[in-house]
Amino acid sequence: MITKRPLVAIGFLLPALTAYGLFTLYPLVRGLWLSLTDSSGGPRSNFIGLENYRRLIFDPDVHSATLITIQYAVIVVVLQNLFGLLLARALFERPHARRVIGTLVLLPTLVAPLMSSFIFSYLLAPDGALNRMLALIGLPGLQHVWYGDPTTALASIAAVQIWMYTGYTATIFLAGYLAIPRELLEAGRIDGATSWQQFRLIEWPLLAPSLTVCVTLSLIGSLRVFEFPFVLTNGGPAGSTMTLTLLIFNSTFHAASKFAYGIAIAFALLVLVVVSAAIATVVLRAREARI
Amino acid sequence: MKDLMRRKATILLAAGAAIMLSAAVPALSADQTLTVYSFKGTPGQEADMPAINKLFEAEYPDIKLNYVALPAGTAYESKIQVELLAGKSADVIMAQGTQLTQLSKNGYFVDLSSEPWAANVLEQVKPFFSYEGQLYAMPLLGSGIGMFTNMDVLAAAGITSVPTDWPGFLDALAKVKAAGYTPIAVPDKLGWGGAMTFLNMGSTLVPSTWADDYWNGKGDFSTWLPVLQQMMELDQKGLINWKEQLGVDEFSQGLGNFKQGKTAFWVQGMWNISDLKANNINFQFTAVPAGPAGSSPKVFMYAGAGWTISATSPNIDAAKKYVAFQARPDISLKYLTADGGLSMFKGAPSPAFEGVETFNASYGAGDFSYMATSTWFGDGVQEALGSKLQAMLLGQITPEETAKALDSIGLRKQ
Repeated sequence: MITKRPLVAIGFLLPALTAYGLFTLYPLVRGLWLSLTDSSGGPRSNFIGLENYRRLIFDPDVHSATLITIQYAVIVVVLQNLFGLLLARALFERPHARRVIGTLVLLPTLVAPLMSSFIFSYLLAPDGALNRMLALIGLPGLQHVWYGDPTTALASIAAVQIWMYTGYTATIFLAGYLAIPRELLEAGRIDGATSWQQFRLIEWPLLAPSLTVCVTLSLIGSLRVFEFPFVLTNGGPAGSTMTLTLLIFNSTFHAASKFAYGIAIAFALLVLVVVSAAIATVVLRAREARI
Repeated sequence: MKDLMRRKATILLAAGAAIMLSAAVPALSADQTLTVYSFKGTPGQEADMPAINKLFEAEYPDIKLNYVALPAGTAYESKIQVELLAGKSADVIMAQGTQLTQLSKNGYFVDLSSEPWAANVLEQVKPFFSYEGQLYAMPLLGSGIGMFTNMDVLAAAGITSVPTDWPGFLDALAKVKAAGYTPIAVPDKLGWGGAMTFLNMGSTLVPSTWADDYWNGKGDFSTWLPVLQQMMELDQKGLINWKEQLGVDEFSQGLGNFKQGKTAFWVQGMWNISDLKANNINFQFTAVPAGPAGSSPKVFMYAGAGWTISATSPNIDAAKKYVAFQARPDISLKYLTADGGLSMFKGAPSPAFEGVETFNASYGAGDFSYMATSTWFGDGVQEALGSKLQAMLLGQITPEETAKALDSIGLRKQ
């Protein structure tokens, strides 16, 4: 089509290219330009070169937010994929329950992130449902101020994201399970493989494509998390959940003098997301190729 | 042929004249439509704006209002910023805080310094609505931030009046606790509650000259050390559990908890008055008592929103009429009564809210301080301050270390 009727091909491509250029490329280029200025959000600004980038390299708030964002991503990527995998295996082994439960596990994904955050804000409040339930079942010692304690706040935020997207991850792993040739699993069983051996030696290697997708998606999603810490802690207590996205938001919208600096941090986050996702994809694709 | 040409020429001329006339209509028309952006007047938070706008249209029948009420917050701020930047904004825009200053600085608003009502604006609040000495907004409402006291809980603890000094406050808190109630709630999950308590107590304990001195490069936060120590004293004496407060949301959970009637004192803003009244809570709203025995606390205020006029508005005269109408004492009183605020004009009446008499009397007597959003407390300081205070309340840093840390947060004049 492209070589035979190039004008028609271009005609088909044009709407998508226009939308992409207008809503993705233009803001990106404009943002990059703004990050090289001292703009406070108004029409007047001065070009200051790489000053904002030099500043963020030495900014302890950026260092702390980067570390917290990475910690958050590690928690979410590991637990979301672990629970998703366990759920997928359970569903794979129960074909009758699969259709109903397979749909139900996707329900949290349909809830808006902001709404999920508000729900958990009430559930995990000091006098919320979780603490009351712990008291009811005789475990008052486990009651905790989940979002008010720096040691539990980040994990408590991650719990919301994990709750929301575990079903989604499980669905991808389940698709991977359903693609495994049945004869391989049966051969393993006939040869006397235990359940663990079957998982480790047959299922896990053959789930490699699903793992690549799940890890990459959860990594990108967790590195650019915003709604959950914004609603649940606003970066607190004492900055212990101040992720890079929150820092960008506070710099750009709460401190006019840091508008351009906030955009520079946003570009740093973009680099972090792209590099991390690229490394994860390359490593996991290489693993797929080895298998 | 000539006739045909002449007729064609006539038609073309007539069409051209009609087009030119229609393009000129908005400027020539007697009926003007004024677009107003506001975050007051949304469903559930009408603030009497629909009624006030009807009064305006009745008084100025040649001006039609297109009043657009949007929920307050970042989305509203982003909308007005983007539209102003694009040169296509509303004629009259409600703005507040550092955004108001920043947009004024960027030349988006009309200078209102010479408007007749401008001379009556309280001198103390002018800086919040000005840039380089020029007034860019009509101050709409001053909002008190202080302490709500549940008088029924206080009575149950055998106390008849709201304490006014620190020793009396500690005594009242201890009695309330002994009676089985929660002494005080300062929800601080977002860092706002702690910051407001700090500023509230500071308005009594810190000399009123400190803010200007600090802004001009003199002094430091060691002056605030007694405030920080008193905040920690509450926890040390078991009168508040700051760690628990850090898990409670100031806005979505604090009000509900106080309305349950289990807490004696609650630090919040006077915008909650109507809600508490609607729920028949027997309350008093006062300043946070922080001073030595026998002293009276100074009330703490936040200069809220103001009406601005877009510099690119084609209807500046009509917009000025609208703003002047809103500044009229009788109209202002309607709004202030509905929205729970105090006037920022000299000699203008403020609503006589039940339960707020003491607070109002202090304000009327000039015994108040305003949140210094135009000087050291501007431009993102609140978030950083709230975070540092949370670190202290968690015991991560001492009050002395906090005072030092705040020196790197507070703004100084450039």
